[in-house]
Amino acid sequence: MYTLETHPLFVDLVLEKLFQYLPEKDLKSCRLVCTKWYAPATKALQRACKPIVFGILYKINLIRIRPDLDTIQQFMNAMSASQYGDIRRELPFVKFDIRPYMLAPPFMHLLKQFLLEYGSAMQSLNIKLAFESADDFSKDCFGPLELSSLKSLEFCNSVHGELRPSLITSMRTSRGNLLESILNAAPFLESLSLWCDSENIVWPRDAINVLKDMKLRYLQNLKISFPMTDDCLISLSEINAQLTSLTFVLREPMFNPEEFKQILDSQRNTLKTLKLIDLQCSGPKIIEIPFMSQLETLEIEGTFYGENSTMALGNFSYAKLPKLKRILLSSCHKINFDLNAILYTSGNKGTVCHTLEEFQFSLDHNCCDLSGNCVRRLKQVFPNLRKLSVIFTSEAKWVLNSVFEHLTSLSELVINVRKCGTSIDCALTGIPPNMYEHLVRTGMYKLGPLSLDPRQLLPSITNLKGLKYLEIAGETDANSSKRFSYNNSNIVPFTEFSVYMAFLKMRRLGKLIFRQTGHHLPQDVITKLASTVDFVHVK
Amino acid sequence: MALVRVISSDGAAFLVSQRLAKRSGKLKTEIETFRKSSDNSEAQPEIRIVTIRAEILRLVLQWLQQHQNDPVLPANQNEQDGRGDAEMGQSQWDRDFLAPMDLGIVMELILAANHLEVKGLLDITCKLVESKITGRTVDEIRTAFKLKSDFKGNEEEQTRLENRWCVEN
Repeated sequence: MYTLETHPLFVDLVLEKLFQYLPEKDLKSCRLVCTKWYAPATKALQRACKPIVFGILYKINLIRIRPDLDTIQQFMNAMSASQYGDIRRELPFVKFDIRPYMLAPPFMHLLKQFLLEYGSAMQSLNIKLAFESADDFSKDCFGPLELSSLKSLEFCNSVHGELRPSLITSMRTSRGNLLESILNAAPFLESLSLWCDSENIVWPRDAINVLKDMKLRYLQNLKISFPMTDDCLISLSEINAQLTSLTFVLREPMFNPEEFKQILDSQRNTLKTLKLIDLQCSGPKIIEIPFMSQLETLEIEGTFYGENSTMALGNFSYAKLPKLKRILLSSCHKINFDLNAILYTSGNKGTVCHTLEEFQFSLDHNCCDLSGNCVRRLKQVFPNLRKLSVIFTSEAKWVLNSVFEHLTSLSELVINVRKCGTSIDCALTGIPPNMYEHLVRTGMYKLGPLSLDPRQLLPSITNLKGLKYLEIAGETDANSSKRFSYNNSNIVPFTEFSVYMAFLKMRRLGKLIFRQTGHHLPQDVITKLASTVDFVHVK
Repeated sequence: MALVRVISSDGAAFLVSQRLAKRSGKLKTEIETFRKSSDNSEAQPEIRIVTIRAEILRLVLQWLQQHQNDPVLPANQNEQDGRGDAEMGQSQWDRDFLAPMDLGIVMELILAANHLEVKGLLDITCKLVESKITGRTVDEIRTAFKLKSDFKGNEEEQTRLENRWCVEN
């Protein structure tokens, strides 16, 4: 019989599997157990750990990033004592978030030393540069740098420049050289995110020009979060990369939907995920999505400012998106985002999307445009819809009941509960408020089958006969309600009532998850639930 | 019903249906290899598993029998999905199945499930061992797994110092 010590296979293959899901704290313990555990636990830690942050955000009058050269030096001292270079030893931390307040010569020197020493192990790097430094980077400013493990780079130019916009136009920095030096050293980069202040109109052109001249053989995920002029957009459509995922933040002052369509066209054969974030738009925009053979996920997030900012999808057709599986809409306000294209596409072809499996609409406020008609429409447009995510608020109580009435073939449902008091019980069970109060007061709902007048009942969650997965999430525990200064009506009084009147009747429900709602449920109810559904309670 | 003989490292033979055996990725490959190399399509395949002893092999087959109608899980899923399935798959039967085993047997099962490519079994056994690690101190883990520290010089102290970095909030 083999034991842990005598069986090498255990150590090599299975420990890796075993450590796959352990959290950081336990992995750190595992590194200390014995030398056989050390390497696999370290590898797992590299993945599980959050980035190490050099630089601390603090606030005195202005938001500042404290220069934190000391911490980098300390880190290097601590790690160099371990002599990484040796085959057995591995750097336990490979993700870094560097936030220099200024890139004065001492920092530059340290950064160079840091990158040269640990660059080859580094997997993820996040650089946030402050505005004020009059830094000057030469071409190849790090010399022979190798970032051969770097998979993910986030490059933010100017973290608080918005506070001092007057400075921006007058100064052009050589940060393009810095970006180029890093990209040149990282041939296996898979994800790149670029960000700058909206007032900075010089940097986008520099950054995109760097991208355009680069061979980005392995780049798959690109996120662009700065305002771009037409020529920037055209340059972006000419980059040497075949992307599978593009996140694009539409920002004023300049944005041309025609040029944007060209970018999508250039990635038509590979792009699987497209996310549009509308951050600052002052005028209406119509975006056309061209034929995209591989697109599976379309995500639109509107954190719209201003009532004039509207977005619509023009000339939209599901026939152009033959593989579309998911539509995720978040914060898309009725006034700012036109749902019509998605629910009522014009023309005969492409009005029905047979491939769509998941639809998410999280309309945080004022979602009255998604009436019962729209929910019914979901069923017609997406006949194979399997998973639905909705937000349930006191203003949108009816959403759930119309879902229960029309979308009876759902197999997965996620309900985000916000500020709704007891109405969640009524919505889930379809029992009107007056009857609900009576039942709760008398405790009758615990006693078993009740004869209720069916004419008074609304559709309840038990209508979803095929539901296998239900998740109910919300900011609902006492601490978070204190933190956001909610009053008591925002706490979900979860919900023995729904358990007795609905969940216990749902025989096919495989998994039920409550997030941040558990402490309201008495232990015996949880036990009862666990006997019928595979109940998971996440705090 | 087509059968296959599966033989353990200590020579015990188990006769199981090919349909059941094929739920193990490894056995499936072996059966297909046998088919291709054999002239007689009626011949009964015989597979030797030199790394797994009879007691463990019996447990694996028992688990497969119980779960023969589950959907087959793809071996390489992304982490998130893999996790979800592990939680979904843990039935009361699984809990009863694992409950009487000591840690040594569970570890052998992990090895066997890994070798035979039985994802569901690998998931639940790993989860059980994980639960012996989560929230414990280094010494408690060593005791539970009967392990001794074999770090030399200041290696352990050095690793402790490194661990202080990147503390989760």
